[in-house]
Amino acid sequence: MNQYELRWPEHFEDDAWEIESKGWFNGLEINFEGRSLRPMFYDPIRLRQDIAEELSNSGFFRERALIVVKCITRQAIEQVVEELAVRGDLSYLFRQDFR
Amino acid sequence: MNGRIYDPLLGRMLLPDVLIPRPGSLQGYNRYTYVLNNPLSLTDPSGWQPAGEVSESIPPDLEFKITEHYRQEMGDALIRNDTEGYDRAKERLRSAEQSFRGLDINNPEPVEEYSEIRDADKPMTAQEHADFESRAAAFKAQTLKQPVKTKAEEIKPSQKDSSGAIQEKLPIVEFKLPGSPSTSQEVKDTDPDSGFAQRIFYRGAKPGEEISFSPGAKDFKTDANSFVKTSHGVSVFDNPESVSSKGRDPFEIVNESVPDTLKFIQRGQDPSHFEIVPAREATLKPEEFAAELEKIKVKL
Repeated sequence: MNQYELRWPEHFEDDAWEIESKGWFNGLEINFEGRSLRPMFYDPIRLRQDIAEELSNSGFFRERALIVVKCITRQAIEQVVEELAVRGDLSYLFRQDFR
Repeated sequence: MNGRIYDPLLGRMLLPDVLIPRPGSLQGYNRYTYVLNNPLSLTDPSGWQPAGEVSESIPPDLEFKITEHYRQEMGDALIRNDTEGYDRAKERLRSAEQSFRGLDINNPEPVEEYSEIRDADKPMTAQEHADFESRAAAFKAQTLKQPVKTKAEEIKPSQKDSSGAIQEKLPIVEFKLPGSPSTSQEVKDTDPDSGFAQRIFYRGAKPGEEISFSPGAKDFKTDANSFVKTSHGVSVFDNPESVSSKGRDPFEIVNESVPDTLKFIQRGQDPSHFEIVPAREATLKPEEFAAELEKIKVKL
């Protein structure tokens, strides 16, 4: 069972260009086996910048349900979620109690 | 070279090679040489290994490492208040990105090679070598229409470790508007009266709609005490084209209208992308952040 449902925020397409520039996004809700989860998607550059800043400010960096993709676009995110589902990793992701 | 920059003054690459083109040759382990120090026989249009040689272990994050280096240069230039250096690094970043888009790193092919007819048995003097490299660099700069020459002093001694390798440094790029207090080492080193303080930013609005700085869920994060973090904020760009190319109308921000409670930081893969964030940690709740952003005016 790898059926899942993606719920994109309203007006995502309007903001997509800005979100890609920002390099992070946590507005996608994934529904899977009766549970929902909002992963934190990062691109590598923004992730490194944020890690550096968090280490400087608070000494540590943590992010729940972190998924790193090459760029923050709808296509890239949908591809990686599908890949996770096919591999069975979506089950693993949802086994974690992130809520 | 498409990938790395060769400095004819130094006779060396300015970036260490991430490939070992010929593991059996000691020259292959000198990460700053050009074509195994054999320019008469080999050329290196990719900047990573002699033409025609394909390494079996090209790192998948090659593009990331190179572009990261230029982002680091941009950050260093900002810290030095070196506007020209910032623009140079930004241009190099764009050139590198363009090069990677046009170069299949798994199948590097010569683009257009520079060659001279010489007596192969006659060894080349250091001066002849340098002259040859200069002519080759000028030729490539002309044919590839991208910058090849770079000042050696742009790599600061502090960036190199004892082995000469350039140290990794994460790019934290930020600056303050005039009068704004400093919160980090990067900012403390910044002269608020420098050219960066006068940098112009643009915010986009859908055609026909009013400009808005109202932050949404996609814009900021809060800490454990519900203060807006200084690491995320409302997106702006340092040129109008970055906005208009996305179908938005660019509005120039009036710098004097930006309150001292806010600052600009560069974030993300696009070096033109900045964010307006709280100037200091734990000072603004989301509604206060929104209120401060509302004070920002644009030129109409």
